[in-house]
Amino acid sequence: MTVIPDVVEISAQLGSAATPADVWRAMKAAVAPLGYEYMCVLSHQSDLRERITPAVLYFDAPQGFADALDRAGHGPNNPLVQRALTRLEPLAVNEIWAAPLSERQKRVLAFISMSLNVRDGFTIPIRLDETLDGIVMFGGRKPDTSALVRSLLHLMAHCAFKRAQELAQVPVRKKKGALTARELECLRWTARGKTDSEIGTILTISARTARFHIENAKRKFGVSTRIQAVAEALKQRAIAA
Amino acid sequence: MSDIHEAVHVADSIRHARAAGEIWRTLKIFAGSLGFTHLSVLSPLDASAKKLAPHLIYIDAPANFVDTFDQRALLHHHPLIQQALTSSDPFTVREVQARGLTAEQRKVLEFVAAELDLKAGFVVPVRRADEMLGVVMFGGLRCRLGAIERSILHLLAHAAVVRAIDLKQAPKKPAAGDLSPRECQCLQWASQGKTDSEIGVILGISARTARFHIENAKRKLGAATRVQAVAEAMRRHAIAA
Repeated sequence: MTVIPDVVEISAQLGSAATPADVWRAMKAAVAPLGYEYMCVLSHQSDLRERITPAVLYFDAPQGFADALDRAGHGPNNPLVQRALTRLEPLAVNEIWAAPLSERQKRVLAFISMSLNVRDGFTIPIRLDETLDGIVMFGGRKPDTSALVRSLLHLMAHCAFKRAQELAQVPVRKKKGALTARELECLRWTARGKTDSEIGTILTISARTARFHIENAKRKFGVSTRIQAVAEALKQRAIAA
Repeated sequence: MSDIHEAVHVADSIRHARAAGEIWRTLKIFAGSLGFTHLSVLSPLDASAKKLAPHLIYIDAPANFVDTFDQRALLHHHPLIQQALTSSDPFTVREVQARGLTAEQRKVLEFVAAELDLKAGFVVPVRRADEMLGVVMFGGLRCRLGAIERSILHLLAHAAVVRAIDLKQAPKKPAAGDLSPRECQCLQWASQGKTDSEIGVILGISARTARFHIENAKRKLGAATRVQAVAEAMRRHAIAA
């Protein structure tokens, strides 16, 4: 039996992602234990009825696979994409196979399944409001497709898509007052009850330098005590709780 | 879409709930925001169960509702509960009705709907692998249950039942590590950068007493410093993060 990943933890990981690529990497890592080896994210900003290549935001298929699908004209006959365009709910690959399919649709599904060695999965329409924003697909050789996992993937795909969208809109730059790795390291140890000199020993720096890092962190947070700095870092999830 | 972030917070609260009552309250408030004013939770049961009362963990119903229900021996014909015994997918009342009901089943649904003033409902059978852990039923008059709300309620109902079982299996010893309200207050103010004497002024106690409370909190939390005590209290959700 697989252990169902925790919604809260996944969402925290998605929240701390700094780029859309980070978001998808975090999402992939979260679903991997459930047996999902492949993930494909499509944006609905381009027309998905014919081709998928211009819409791909993330796809870990071999280089050129999406292009091969498009060149073969598989787009309109790919039920994984076409069904998701009109659906509201996630759809299991098994359910697609169970429904009546044309010969061409069967061929496209078989081609994808053979090329990627994927046997089952979900195609999830992303609707952040009423309209379709994109599609997230998960696939694997023997993934967990239980009802609970379906709900989890549905919710998490929406979280990830939204987070990636936010990050894509905001130009990526280092936030003013962002803490350095060293400052975070010192705060982490402070939160674990270490004194300046103990931190110095752990990080092989002097106690004064440890103090200097913590003082800088306090200044950046605009707080007056180190307790406040640790509390603020926990709040912002800059250090793990 | 704000529902999704709200749902993650609710999942976090459920995960940290210290008592079953807190879990159901949290779940009910969220479900209420979707229009589900009624919640009932059943412990695991099978087809041989004769009465509802022994299986009720939580229900919003007038006192005599359950008595009447059991006196009339309605459990066996309750189509929602019977469906939950065999299904691992969540389902709505409408979906069960669409499948066709016997006259007796229809009567039971009408009785419940009239007594509890319900028009719509959503039922989540909670299972871990094949083991039944319980059934969560949401009901209301006008409810919002789109595709994403469905997945959210499914995940939250599951998390709630699992947490309730965890709490029951590991009864909480009240002493170890539990902070008094005063200790929490002092830590909370310390986390906002206040000194002992400032905390004393705020709470109308002496600085020494404030210090005393914080020292006790440190001891209870097994913390070497007050920074660690604040970090630990935030981690345990004893003070606001």
